[in-house]
Amino acid sequence: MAEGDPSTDMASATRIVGWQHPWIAYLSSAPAMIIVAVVLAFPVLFAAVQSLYDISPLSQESPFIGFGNYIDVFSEPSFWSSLWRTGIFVFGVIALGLTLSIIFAFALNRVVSGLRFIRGLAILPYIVSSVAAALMFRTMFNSEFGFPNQVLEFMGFGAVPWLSNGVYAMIVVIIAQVWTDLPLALLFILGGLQTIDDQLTEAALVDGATGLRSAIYISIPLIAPQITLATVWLSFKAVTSLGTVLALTGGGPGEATQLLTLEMVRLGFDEYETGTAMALVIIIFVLNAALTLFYLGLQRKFGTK
Amino acid sequence: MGEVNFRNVMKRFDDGTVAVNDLNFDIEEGEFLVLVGPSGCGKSTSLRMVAGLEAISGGEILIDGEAVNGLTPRERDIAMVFQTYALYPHMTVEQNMGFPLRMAGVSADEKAKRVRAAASVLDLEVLLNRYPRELSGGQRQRVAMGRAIVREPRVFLMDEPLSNLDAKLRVQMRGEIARLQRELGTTTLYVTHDQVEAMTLGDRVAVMHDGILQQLAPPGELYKSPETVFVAGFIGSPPMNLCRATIVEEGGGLAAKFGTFSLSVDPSSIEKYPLVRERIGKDVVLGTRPECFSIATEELPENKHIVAKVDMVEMLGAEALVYLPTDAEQIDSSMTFGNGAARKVASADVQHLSLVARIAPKTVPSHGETVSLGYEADSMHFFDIETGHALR
Amino acid sequence: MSVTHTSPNTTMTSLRRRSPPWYRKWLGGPLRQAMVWLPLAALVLWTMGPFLISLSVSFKQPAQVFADPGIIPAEPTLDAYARVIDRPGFQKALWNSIVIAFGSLILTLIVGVPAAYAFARFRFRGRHLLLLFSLLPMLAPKVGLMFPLFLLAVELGAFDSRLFLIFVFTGMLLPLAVWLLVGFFQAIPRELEEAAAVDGATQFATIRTVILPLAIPALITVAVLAFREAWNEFELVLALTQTADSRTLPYELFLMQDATGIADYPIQNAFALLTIVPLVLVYLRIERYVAEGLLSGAVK
Ligand SMILES: Nc1ncnc2c1ncn2[C@@H]1O[C@H](COP(=O)(O)OP(=O)(O)O)[C@@H](O)[C@H]1O
Ligand SMILES: [Mg+2]
Repeated sequence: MAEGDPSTDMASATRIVGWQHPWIAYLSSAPAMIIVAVVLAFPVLFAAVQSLYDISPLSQESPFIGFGNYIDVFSEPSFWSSLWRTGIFVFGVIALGLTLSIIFAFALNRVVSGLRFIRGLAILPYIVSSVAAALMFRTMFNSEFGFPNQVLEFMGFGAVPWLSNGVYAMIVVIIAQVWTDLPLALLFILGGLQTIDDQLTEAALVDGATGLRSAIYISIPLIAPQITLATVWLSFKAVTSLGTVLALTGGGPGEATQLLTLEMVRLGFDEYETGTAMALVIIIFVLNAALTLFYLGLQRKFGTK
Repeated sequence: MGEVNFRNVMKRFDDGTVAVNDLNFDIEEGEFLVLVGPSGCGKSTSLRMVAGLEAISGGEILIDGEAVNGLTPRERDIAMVFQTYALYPHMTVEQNMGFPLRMAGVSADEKAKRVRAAASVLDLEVLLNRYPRELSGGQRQRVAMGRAIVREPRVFLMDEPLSNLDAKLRVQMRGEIARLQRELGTTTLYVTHDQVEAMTLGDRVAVMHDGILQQLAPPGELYKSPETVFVAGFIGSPPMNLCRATIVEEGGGLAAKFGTFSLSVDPSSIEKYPLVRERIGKDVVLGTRPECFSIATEELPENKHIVAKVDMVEMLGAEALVYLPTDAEQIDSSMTFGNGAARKVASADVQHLSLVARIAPKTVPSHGETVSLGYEADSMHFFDIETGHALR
Repeated sequence: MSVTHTSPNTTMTSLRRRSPPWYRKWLGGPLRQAMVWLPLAALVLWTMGPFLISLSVSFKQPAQVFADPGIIPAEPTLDAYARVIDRPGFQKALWNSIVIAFGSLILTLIVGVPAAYAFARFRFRGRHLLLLFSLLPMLAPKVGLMFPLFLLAVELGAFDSRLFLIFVFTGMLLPLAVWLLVGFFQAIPRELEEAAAVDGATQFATIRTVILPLAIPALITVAVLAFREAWNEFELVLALTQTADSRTLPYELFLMQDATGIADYPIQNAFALLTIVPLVLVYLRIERYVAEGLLSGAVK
């Protein structure tokens, strides 16, 4: 994906005599390696191992039970319903996120230099924490004084119970999630558009394609890699989203927005079902990896590059 | 201070490329030695091994009698001017020039004094507070020189320092480098692919080809008596005419037959290339300099001139180049000799020599005219066709 | 394009030149303009809308929020901000956020720079780990790390400790930081390093006097990204802290929701906006670095 991938570029290695002692390299990279190993790698292995044991607050012993925890998880109806909700959530985030980022990116790509600050504005949500964003959206979608309902009322429609109705709550959660994660998706696609040779789209215009057609037939296939990247990013953020949903709906109303991640928190932190929570952690890892591979596969199959 | 010796130096890169092979030569104290050769022949690699920017794979490099193979560049006490100048972009001219002194722990006062001295030598005083990006190419080049001279190193190393300048500046800087080196008397190893630079700058010139040292000699000697076919073809402009010739006995003397042409070999040439005598009836490489031809104004005896039709004329003002097609087999000086490379090529692949003559413009013939060219009898060159070495 | 327009004795181009389709005029003029301006307006509204509404609510009294739903408050007041700032929880969390964000930023740079230099310039076994190293955050999303890290913290006695948070945040940031820095170090011409070497600099002096000064843009980018990450992090703070002594602003904000009840919208929004202010101030100065860092960092 990356151009000039630093990990494959050996040409930059120094050849200065006396400056290649491997132990300097080991010493200077060791702290970073160790910290990352402890914080990122170890927990994965730890979770994988723990998920094979029956660890719960009720018993003193924690016997090895193989895939018992996974079987437990899979036999819980609440797992399947939260998986289903996660599916809807992820799909919604990708659909809305891609649509918006493509439309906005096309518009930004045309922006004249005096309006460059709009690009700066577009990145602003990136610096807002998930909790703050959730709060802002909770205010905005308040059914009594919230802006959307004011607009609906102004147009003569009734008030929508945004956060107390399960379906609407899911929509709000999706919108809030897209709002926080759109900047990067937008930058990816904008970056892709900026690499397209103007002559291509001009040629299309001369050939009679309207702007919209040239976008669909020329530009979008050319930026398939960036669209894939944006998809991977949006999907990754949605599958692993916790803060936004927790602070916005807390999984409610009822269980309408109870995603897998919230389920994991409930099992681990509220019910101390360590073994099952760890199994869920591993399932989230695998789901995330599988989805990423899936998008990359799609791109390989249908993409241009 | 500042003697450099190469002892069987070899460089093999990680990918197996042998860039320099069995290099042996000495740079004397205070000498200006130029390493010249075509691109990719291993010049930079040789220089960088002296600097410690490239490990030495085999043999030894000595500076003042001490093997430096394992020393870091810092421990070698050398200075280098890079082709791209490698000025530190975030430092002013003064800071750039003072950097080596700063690294040597020289006091601030002393540093300022020495930077100023170097700046005045190079006419850089008014630029001291500028950043490299605010300088012209020529100014940058001078700053790079300044950075090299402030620390009074044992050896200067320069890797094509003039190749990023335009032609006029290059000539000017060439003179300046020569002057500086004379004044400072610092041993200098200078790398270039430009033979004019090499010939004008070097006390001695080392010609390299394919990682192998071909000849090391003062410029005049390189021109007068090249050791190998490569040197013969590389030094001189336009290059020497090189072709396959057969030595025959004729009228008590020797003659070189090439294609349908024949020139008698003057005894003075035989004196310079005594082994020619042993090649009677055999093939050799014959070299003739374009500038040794002249239009014959009177009838010359057979074997003292060649007669051919003019193919093309290039007027250069003070002189003209005249091209004459021949049926002699051309020898490519850049091919690798030895291991039978110059065996008889299949007749279909033979490249015929287009003989070049450099003559005074007054006597220039026109295209298609048949001319008779005389040749300075004592400046013929002979080389072994198998090894490419001079026949002496 | 459309074959239906061609008549036997005219070529497509000449026909088009003579009689452009009726919608042409619209496409070239107002409609085309609208196709650029409408999305741009939508983008601005989409991005700024939530901020503006939040800002509006934060300037109201709690009761006014319902009584005066307009965007421009009838009687603007800074009351909510005063109440946020007065809260001990806010002050403590602000201090914790500052300590932890700067701590993570500094530790990330101190640990990341040498590692990046090693990856960029040395040939050593383990160098090929760089890609895996950089991909780890993608493979091991932090939501999955919460629980294992929580158990680890409890085991180590590091639960509810600011130092452990700094350590964990540094671990989260290092892959991106190292990746960015490696790319940047590699882009610095090797000749500069070689020049420094022949000028008598040691390897360490070269890094200090040549490499790092040239890498300042990359260092700023990394610092900003690190600061943002640590400042905004919620999930891991939720998992690894318990008391006000160590929790940061996002967690405090999250808890305040429950504490203040549904009604007090102004104080919540004031709080939320106050947590954003420092980043906006930084961001306005160096938006370029952020955008570049974001892009180069994410494309891995
Ligand atoms: N790092 C390297 N790895 C492999 N081969 C190299 C490397 N650097 C140079 N070479 C090869 O070594 C030979 C000599 O290179 P160099 O000394 O740079 O030539 P010159 O300076 O005479 O043009 C060339 O064939 C070049 O391709
Ligand atoms: Mg070179």
